[in-house]
Amino acid sequence: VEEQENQYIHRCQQGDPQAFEEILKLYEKKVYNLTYRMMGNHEDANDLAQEAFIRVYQSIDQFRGDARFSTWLYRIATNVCLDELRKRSRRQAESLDEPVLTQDGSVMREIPDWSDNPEEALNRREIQTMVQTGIQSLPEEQKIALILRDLQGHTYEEIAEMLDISLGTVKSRINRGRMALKGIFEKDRELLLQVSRPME
Amino acid sequence: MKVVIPMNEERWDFLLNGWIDESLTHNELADFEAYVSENPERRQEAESLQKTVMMLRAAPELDVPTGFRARIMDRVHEANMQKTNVISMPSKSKPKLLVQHSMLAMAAACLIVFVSLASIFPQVLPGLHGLLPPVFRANSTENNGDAGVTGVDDERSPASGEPLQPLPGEGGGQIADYSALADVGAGKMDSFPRLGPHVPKVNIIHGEVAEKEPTMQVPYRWVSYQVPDLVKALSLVREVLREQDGIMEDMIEIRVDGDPVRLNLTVYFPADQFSAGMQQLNKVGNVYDSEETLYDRSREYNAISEMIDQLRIDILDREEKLAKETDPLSKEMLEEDLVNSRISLTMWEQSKARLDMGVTEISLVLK
Repeated sequence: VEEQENQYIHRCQQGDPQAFEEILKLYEKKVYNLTYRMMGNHEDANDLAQEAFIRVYQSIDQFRGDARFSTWLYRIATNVCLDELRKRSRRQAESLDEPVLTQDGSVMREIPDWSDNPEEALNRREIQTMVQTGIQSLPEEQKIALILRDLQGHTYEEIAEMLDISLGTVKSRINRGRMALKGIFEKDRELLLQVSRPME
Repeated sequence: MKVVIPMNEERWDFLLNGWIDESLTHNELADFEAYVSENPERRQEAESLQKTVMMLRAAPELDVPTGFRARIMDRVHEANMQKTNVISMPSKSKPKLLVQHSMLAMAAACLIVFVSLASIFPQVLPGLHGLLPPVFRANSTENNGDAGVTGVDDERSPASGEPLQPLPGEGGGQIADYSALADVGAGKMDSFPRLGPHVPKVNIIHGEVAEKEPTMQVPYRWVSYQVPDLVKALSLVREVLREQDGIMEDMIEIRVDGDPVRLNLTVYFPADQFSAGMQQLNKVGNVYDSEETLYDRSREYNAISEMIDQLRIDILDREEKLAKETDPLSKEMLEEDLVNSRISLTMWEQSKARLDMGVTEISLVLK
């Protein structure tokens, strides 16, 4: 697979768009998921994933193979998201436990109580929502480190290279991000119980 | 012989995350297991963190939207076409003049926007503001006293670096009675004028300020605290952030200045959180002095109003797209985005409502 990927990269550097399409097939899902987790909505995820791939295409000449291609590509995608988030420089959203004032009065915005029906709570969409809501409440630095590690399965070393930070910083950000998420998820213990495995 | 490494927070974090990542060596794993078996609360913490990470890993991977790849390839082909056109353009026919004109126009536009932004947001762009000609500075600094988050001391100690002076009639550095102050402060909040939606917005149209910035001054209570040490003051910030509803990170400012060096800690409390906030503050310091004064919230108010307007436009736009969308996957994605936008809108509306309530500013002074 790696050899084939190298061939695609080489052909792409020679200006073959078909080879780029092959690269796209290999990575589109991962990159799209990364941008979705970072941005929190499909519209932005779509735009930024496209932007990331266009930048990859435009700068593929500069890829010399010093790092793994996937690391180089995710680094570009990560920077696209971080640039966009910084550009917007929106004020950080309120914490999840704050009540939201609506026309019907004050309600809790956070994760609904699914304890009456735990099976249902485990369905795809609800876990998706819960994870996404939790992740969005993290600071950007922790968010990206956690997405790359626990949602995308990259190693600490790869993440350090992608984000251009030290291994120690990666570990610390992941650690802090996990602890923060723990606090958020613990608010729905029933749901957590369903995905737990007993400690050996 | 086995070397026993003492368990501290750093070691615990290392073992805990290593255990989650299944990257511990045999000995490290043994240390970890021995430690959690002796410490039930650590065991609980480990299990809880493990569940959190499992929850993350259980999140399903999303499919890319319909037509995603095709759109990228269209852009790739487009980029290739442009590249080809540029290469094939004869050098003498390149529109150099046009380029120069465009650059001049861009530079002019940047300058106008720069001046406009700096005059609207002197606190956000303090460096830029200082560069402005007086005609722009005058408008943006009138009403000052406010100065957003960074202008806390402007009214009472305008000279940067000067030690804080006690306020008139407040007994030169004597420790005041905290509880009485808290009551007074809370009472004052109730009578604050409300900032309604009548506030005109500032719009930038073609790089010019279309409307003068409105004056919107709100009374607030300024409280100065004497804090015994820096570490306590910093830990207080964390406590306030964690325990007080409605306090966001950007509502707290820590600044070290003065000679001798002094720590200023400023927290903005929504009116209904004032008393609880004072209790938090009282854990690390005593009231030093205080003053009721005016605070201009118009910039924040306008920024939030613009954000709300934009979100409403986004929502309408997405609703319109949703009505026309036929592809089920795209439809589902649009629905999700709509839900997110609506949540954001509610949050921003709540922030705006909080501004309507007025705020209390509290400052800690470390001597």
